[in-house]
Amino acid sequence: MKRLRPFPVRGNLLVALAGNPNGGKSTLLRQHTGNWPGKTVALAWGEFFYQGYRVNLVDLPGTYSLWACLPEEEVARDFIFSQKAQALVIVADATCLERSLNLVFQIGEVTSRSILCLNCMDEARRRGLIIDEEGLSRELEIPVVPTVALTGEGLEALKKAIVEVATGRLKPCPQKVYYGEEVEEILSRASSRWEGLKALMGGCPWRG
Amino acid sequence: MEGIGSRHYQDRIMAALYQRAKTVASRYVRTGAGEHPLTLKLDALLTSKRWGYPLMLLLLVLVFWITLVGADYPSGLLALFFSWAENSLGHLLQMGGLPSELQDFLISGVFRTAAWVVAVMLPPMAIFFPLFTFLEDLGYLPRVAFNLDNFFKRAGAHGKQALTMAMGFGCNTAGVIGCRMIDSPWERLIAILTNNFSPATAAIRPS
Ligand SMILES: Nc1nc2c(ncn2[C@@H]2O[C@H](COP(=O)(O)OP(=O)(O)OP(=O)(O)O)[C@@H](O)[C@H]2O)c(=O)[nH]1
Ligand SMILES: [Mg+2]
Repeated sequence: MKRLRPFPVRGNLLVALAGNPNGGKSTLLRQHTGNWPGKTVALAWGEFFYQGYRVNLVDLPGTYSLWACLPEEEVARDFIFSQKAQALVIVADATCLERSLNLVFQIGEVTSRSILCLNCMDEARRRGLIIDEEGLSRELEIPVVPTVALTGEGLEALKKAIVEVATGRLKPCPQKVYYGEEVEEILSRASSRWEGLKALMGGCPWRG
Repeated sequence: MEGIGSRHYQDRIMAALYQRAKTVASRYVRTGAGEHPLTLKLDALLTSKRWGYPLMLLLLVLVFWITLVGADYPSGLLALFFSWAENSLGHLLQMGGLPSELQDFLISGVFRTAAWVVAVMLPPMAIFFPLFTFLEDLGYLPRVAFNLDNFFKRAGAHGKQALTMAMGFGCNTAGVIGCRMIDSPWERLIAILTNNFSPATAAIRPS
């Protein structure tokens, strides 16, 4: 017998998975739905139901920086800039958190509705890394959820955080990076901090 | 005064971002008394200044040796099988009473060419690619790229080219297709054009 699809009584939510390449975004999505891993180069979709909401997940291609110039990174960047998503999950490889934080800060300038997902926690634990999730969450002022995408550990907590942020029940306010007097001065004169940053960074800064 | 969008501000902004990331990461991530896994030690060894290159050479030579020497046996068997098949097929066609021109065309032309290609190409590829995949699954290939990155950079190419060149040893088609993973169009073009400098094992085998 075919199981009936749950009915999204309380509405649809659009949520995107962003993060460095190889952080486990597609693996997470497969846990939720049924997607495939491997290098993602275009938008991929999935959905899950939670507390009466249908959450549509978009798997973005991995990106190290919003200021990148590769075609697949542009796909991710354009989607993040478009602000279409009600929430953005930044999937970070917990074993090299520092690399992901860069992106976390950049995304914090674009949208406040983000969640940091610390994936590959199994690997981090194996290497003896101890991550203070609560401290990190307080510092970044966005929810931080540890997960293991391979086994599905932490997935419930992630779903909960996603729905809370996407519905606006939880309002993260990611702290902004201080870029130094000179830059901040220019940003304060721009129509908005974000527009100012965009103008300063240009389209594709590292390619002349 | 530098114009807006200039390198100066971009560098400032990126530096601030990296600095912040470093501070936050160092504050909230501690390396506890975890086991020091074998893989980390191996990683350090395989990418070390001292042992990285010799080990890499050794491994690659081993792979090629297995491929070249190992492929001879199945190749010989295949060739034997195909020449037997050719004979039987010839007899069959003769009995069918086809005109001899057509027979020649089918047997000495179509069949023999196809058989030769399979006999020569299939075994080395069937050995090289599984070996290569094995190295990939072990995670060794990215280390090779890491080791060779410097060389390729000095030659004005991309470090990832090390991998497409290595693929080229198995089959240049695969190597060229693999070049799509190189991001900048210019470096990708270089990688594609120079891929033929790694001759496919099937081509360099003494036959
Ligand atoms: N140990 C461990 N490995 C994981 C975990 N999550 C994902 N992986 C592995 O990490 C690799 C990359 O996963 P993907 O889901 O393809 O990564 P991605 O973020 O979609 O990568 P891109 O599409 O290139 O951006 C795969 O080999 C996964 O098996 C995890 O929680 N623990
Ligand atoms: Mg992916």
